[in-house]
Amino acid sequence: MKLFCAADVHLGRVPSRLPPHLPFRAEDLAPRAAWHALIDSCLEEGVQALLLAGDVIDDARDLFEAYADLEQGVRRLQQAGTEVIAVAGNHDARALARLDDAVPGLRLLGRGGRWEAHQLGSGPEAVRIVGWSFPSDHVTATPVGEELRELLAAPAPATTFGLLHGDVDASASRYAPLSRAALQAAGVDAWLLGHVHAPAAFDAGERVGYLGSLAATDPGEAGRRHAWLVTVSSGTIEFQPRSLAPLRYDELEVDLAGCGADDAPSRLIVAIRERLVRHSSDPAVRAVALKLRLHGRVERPADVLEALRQAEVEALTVEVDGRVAFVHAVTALLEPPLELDRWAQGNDPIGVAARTLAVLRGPASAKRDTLIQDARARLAPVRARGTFAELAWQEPSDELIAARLEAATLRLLATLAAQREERAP
Amino acid sequence: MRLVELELRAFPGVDRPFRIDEFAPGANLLLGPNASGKSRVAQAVRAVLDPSSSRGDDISIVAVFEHDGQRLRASRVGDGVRWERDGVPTEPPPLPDGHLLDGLFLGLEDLHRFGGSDRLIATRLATELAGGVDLAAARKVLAEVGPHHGRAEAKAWNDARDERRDAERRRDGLAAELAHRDELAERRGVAAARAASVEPLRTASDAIEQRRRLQNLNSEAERLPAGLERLHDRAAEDAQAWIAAVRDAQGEVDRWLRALDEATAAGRATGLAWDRPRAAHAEELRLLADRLAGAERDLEAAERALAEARARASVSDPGDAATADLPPGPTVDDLDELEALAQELDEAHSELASRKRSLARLEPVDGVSRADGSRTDATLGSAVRHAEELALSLSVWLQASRQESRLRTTIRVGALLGAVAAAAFAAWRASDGSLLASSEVTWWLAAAALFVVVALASEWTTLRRAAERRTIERTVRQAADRSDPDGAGIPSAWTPDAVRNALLDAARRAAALAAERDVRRESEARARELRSEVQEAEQEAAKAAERLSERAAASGLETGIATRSWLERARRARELRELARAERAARARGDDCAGRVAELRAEIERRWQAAQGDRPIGGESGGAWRAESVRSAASELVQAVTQRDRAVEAKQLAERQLAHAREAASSAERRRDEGLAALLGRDPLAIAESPPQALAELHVRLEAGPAWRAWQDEAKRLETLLAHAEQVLEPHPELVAAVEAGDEKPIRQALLEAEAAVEERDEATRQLAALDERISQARHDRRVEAARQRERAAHDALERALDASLDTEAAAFVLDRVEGAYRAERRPAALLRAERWFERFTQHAFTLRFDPAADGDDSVRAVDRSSGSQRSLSELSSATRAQLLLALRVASAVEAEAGGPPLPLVLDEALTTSDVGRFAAVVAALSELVREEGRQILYLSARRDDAVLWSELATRADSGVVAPTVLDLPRLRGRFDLWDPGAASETESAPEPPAPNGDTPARYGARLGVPAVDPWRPDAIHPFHLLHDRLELVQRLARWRISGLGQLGTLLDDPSAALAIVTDGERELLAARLAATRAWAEAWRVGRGRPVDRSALVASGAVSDRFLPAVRDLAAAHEGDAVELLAALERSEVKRFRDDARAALETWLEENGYLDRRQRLSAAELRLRAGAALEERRRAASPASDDPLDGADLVDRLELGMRSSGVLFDGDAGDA
Repeated sequence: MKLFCAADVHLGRVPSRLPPHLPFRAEDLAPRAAWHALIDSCLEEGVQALLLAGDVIDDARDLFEAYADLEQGVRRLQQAGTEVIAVAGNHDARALARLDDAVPGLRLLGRGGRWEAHQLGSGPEAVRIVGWSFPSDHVTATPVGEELRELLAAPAPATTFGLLHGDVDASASRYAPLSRAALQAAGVDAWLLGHVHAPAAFDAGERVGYLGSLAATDPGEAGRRHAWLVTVSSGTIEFQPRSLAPLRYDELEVDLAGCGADDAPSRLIVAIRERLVRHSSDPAVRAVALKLRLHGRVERPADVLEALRQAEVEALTVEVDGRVAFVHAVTALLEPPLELDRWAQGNDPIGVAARTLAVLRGPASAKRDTLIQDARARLAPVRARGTFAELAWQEPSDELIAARLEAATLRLLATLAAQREERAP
Repeated sequence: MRLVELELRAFPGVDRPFRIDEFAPGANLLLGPNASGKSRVAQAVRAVLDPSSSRGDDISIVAVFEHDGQRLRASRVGDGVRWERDGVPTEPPPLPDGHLLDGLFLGLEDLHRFGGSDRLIATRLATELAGGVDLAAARKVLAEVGPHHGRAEAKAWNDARDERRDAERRRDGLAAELAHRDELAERRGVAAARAASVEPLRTASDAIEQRRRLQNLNSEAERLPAGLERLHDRAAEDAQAWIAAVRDAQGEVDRWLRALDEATAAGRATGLAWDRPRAAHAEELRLLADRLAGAERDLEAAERALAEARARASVSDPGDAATADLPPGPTVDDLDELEALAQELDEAHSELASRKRSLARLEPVDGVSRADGSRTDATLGSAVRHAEELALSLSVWLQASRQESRLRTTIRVGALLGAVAAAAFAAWRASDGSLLASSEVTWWLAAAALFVVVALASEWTTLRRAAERRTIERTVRQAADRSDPDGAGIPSAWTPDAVRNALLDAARRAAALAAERDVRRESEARARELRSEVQEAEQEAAKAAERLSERAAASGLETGIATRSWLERARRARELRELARAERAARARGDDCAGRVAELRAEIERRWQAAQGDRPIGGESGGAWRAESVRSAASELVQAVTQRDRAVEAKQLAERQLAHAREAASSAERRRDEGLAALLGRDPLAIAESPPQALAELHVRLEAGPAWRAWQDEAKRLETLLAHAEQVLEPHPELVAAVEAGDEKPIRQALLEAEAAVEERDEATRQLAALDERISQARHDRRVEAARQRERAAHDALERALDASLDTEAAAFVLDRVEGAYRAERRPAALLRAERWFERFTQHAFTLRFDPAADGDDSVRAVDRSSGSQRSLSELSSATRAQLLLALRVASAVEAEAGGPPLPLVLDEALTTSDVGRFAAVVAALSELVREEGRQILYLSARRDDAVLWSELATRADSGVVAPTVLDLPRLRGRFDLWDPGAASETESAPEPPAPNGDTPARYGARLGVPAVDPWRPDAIHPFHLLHDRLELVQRLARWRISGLGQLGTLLDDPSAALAIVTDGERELLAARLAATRAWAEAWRVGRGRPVDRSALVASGAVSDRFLPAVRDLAAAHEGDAVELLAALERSEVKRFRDDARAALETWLEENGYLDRRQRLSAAELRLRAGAALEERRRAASPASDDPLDGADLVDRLELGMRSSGVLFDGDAGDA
């Protein structure tokens, strides 16, 4: 028996950091595009059922937008005889219940927070799905308990999958806290979970884990996102990842060592192009959003930075064979060619800056802590400005501040070194 | 190194050289009015130390300096400076670069403002402070974004969020509606069920009504006449038609009766019988008449032709004998051709005769010439040739004669003259007797001989020419003899004139002979042509005669008979024969015509009688009628017969139609009677007896017809409806019973309820459809998703803005730490010196703070040591500012001296000020330099007051002021006239302020011209406003040019300066009132904000030039109130003024004191604060002040001063 499993489709959500000008519509990179690709794949593979582990809909208000996509997909599968079994997550606790009523062919398992079982097929390859849906947006108690045990105690086929949305090993979570140990002890062959968007290694034998989001919508979701093709045969279960997302977020480290102002932009473009070509192995990918991290020792960092600024790297778009890579963020950590240790011995502003950089890069120390805390205090008013107050609600970590200071110090060093070079006789 | 002597021998602007040798080592106060050369002195000193400061060949200066006990003499001539030590040239002392001397040569305004040299000093200090790098520049590079960065993005995000929320709200509303959809559907179902009974109820209700109406109709129908059912729809039309048909038929009968009468009358009018004659007979008679007329015309024509033939025959000559023997052979054509040929023959003969006549005219000439015998063409040609040869010979003779005569004369005269001259010269030279002369004589004699030889040769040549001429003469005579035996043409004598005449005669004769020869040749050619033409004409005439003969023979004529005359006679004879033949033919035709006329007349008479009996033809009896009469009568007869036949036809037709019409009328009457009988239900015979009565009866019934038919239609309709209702109501027996019972009320009530249910159902259906439409649209338009996309993009942009702002702040943070850490380690010596001096200059009230990161004058600030507050240059009093700039510049210049000799400090009017406090402070500062550095000061001033004040200050033991050496420049230059009181009064000393002299404060204020109180500029408040009770003190302060609280404060801050003017007690009083005034002004400004004016708008940088006029006007309209201005801008009273610009303006106004949103303080609070400041200061005073003025009084005076200007004090306002 073949099944397709996916989680956190988040129909209705829009991807972030898209540049204003793309060779195709932004909505073509949205999760709905991946959803329709998932339906196509189900039909191509001829699967018995599509299992959805919650958060199919991004928001209760997406009732109408998502309905069209969901209804269309489910109808196509229904026409092909493929069942669609879903549990509701924290994002679609209300919406999915409504859609369950409205979309024929959609089977919402565990509606109202009551565990429910559903059998797929019959005979030795029959599979039982047990599932539980969020009854409301927040659930602070773990759903894994007596009710599940009673359900599982009933006679069943050889293979049982658990379909669930929740927060594993986060007991204080408001999103259905789950205990990995309890799940493992429940006697289910595989727990197909939703909520966390990073996928687990089911293909490496893991049996309790997150399916991962179907498509990334945020730079925080860098890396591969996919659905899973599950094959149940003679008591064995095989998981195969199937990439369907048209947009992928990625991080790219570019070593600009030895580059000058003239060739740095071109080297950067070459690196982006190479990365885009690497992604060509995944036919689903149409766009790659890159977060650049530039490093390396360059002769005149200030000039290189200025050249990159002139080249508008942050608005760069590279296209290869109809695929597009664009840059959504740049962190420049270019260093001058001289040893910073030697500079740090100087009794001038460059020496002071070099020593500051050494502190930032060095091990934890009271000096480093003070520097970071001072910076935190200094940056706090910026974050608290009316302009940004709503945005910067989350206090940055020390390491984020240290990284920002490091980049700033390197820029300062580059600027001062350029000045000194200009003034040198 | 101090200046000892200075001699300006030549310098731009100096008319006479002068020398100053009284410079003292310390402070020198060089006094002189304007244009007395003070500035020249300063420039000359600098020109020696810094040659680049002045350029020109007209510069000659000698300056003597003293350094380390030695005298250095610097003499500048032109651009070069020569230094000598004890009269020996030496190297110049180590001097700083010219531009570094700015700090030692300060001009009039240099200590008032932060200038270019200060900027250079600040830059040098900043660079030095920054350790060789430009941290300020680095700060600019690293400042990626400004403090307002992200505002636009935040606004865009907010907008996008609002838009998304709005879209979501709409979706929520739709979702709520969707939740109620089932309820709505159910309501519609219930309503629909209730609405289902509306149809039978409505039918039942209608049926009751219909039954009632049917009954009413039937009652009404009973009142109508009986038998109306027989009246069908077209009864009235039918009756009308029947009656009309009878009338029409009767009319037709009448018409045909009239036609019959008319036809009978017409037939009778022709006068002919109804049956004869027939039309064919009449027509035949008319045709016979036509033929008779034609026969009569032919007869007349034949008679005329006979008469004409007879007449022509009588004109001809029948007795002409020639005609008798004319052969009858030739035809007219033959005769024509023969005549043409005879014509040709005549023409040929005529042509021949013409040629012969022409030839005959030429023959006599020829004959004469031939008769002459010697004048043939050959002889004429020979004569012409001989005459031409003779003329040529004579011409040659004449030419030879002319040449001979000219040559001979020339050569003879020349040779003779040459010979004579040579001989004479030889004789003259021979008289000399020298050897040389004898040789020359020989030569000249030889020359004379040569001339003689030439003359002889000439003679010989002449003789040869004469022989030639004689040869010609001979030839001429021979030629003449040949051509003319008479000797014509030979000259009468062989002289040139005779020969010339003979030549002319010969030429004329040659020309005449040539002309004659040409005429002869032309005549001969013409005669030859004519002879040829005569021959051709003769041949042509012969041919014509031959053609004529042949043609005559062909016509049967004898050869030679066909002459022109014969032919004429033959033609005449033929015409006579033709005439006789024509007469005979005419006579025969006349006879024939007469016979035909007779036949026709007989036939006509026969037929006329057959047709008309005894009526005479044409009204003429006795047979004397003519064809025209018969034809006319026949035509009339034909016409009458035609009319009679028509009348016969009309009569017959009328008779037939009359029969038909009578039958039709009978039929129409029968139909009318039967129809009316059927409509009225009566016997037709009875109707026929009185049709009008029947018609009247019918009309009565027809009037009731519409009503009857309407009843009938309505009754049928109601019956149909009732039948339908019966079907509808079949499933509802209760309704059937109610209908039959006529029980209407409950049915109507039930119907009303059912109709309400229908409306409810329809409304629910409409709502459901609309909801479904919205839902369908929502599922397709993805409005929320699109709004989220925009919000996401805006959010991303804001995140980037935050990142950029954090990066900028992080860079600034790192830079601040680096800068702070470095600065803590190193400070430039010049800055340290400036700081030290400034502290001393201000008696440790202020310290200098240098900010290398700041721009321009913001880089230098004074820190108030008592409060710790920093003040920028613009916020300092003018004295403190001068002290700060002086410290900074001199420190920089001293640093620039770099261990070299200390140079004189030259201040050219640099302290000229109305502020005595400032003057005192700077003088004290200069004294510090003199004492500490041993530096020489040259202070140049136009005002003697400066010397007085400086000297007065120096007299105070605790002032620390060094007494100046006063140098009177006009005196030193020997120009006492320069101190002209009238010319330089303004600069020398201020006018003496008026004394109070018992004036009221108001009047005295007006006399002083005191300005109104401006709380925004407390330093500018005139001391008068504080001192209404101390007018004498006001006058004393005015004398020292203290006209504002700023100046007063400076004075009071410097005890040494203050005590030169006021007593201790007065100083305490002034200090307390000054503090209270400042406290009041500060309190007054709370909640008011400074008035926004144009300069503030410009300084804000938020208002572009484009909007500046409009925003300025708006600010003025709101009296500079920033709050109201911003509110007006928010209301878009300035079109297209952007929100971000308004926000930037608001920020700036707030930061710079223009926008103060605090609550204004009450009048009582203002008095309280002023009083508190007053008391506090008095308590601190030692000894305690006995000033009776309290805070309220002071505030009253100030508030009065706010409302009043000096002008208002003009009147006596009493003691305000």
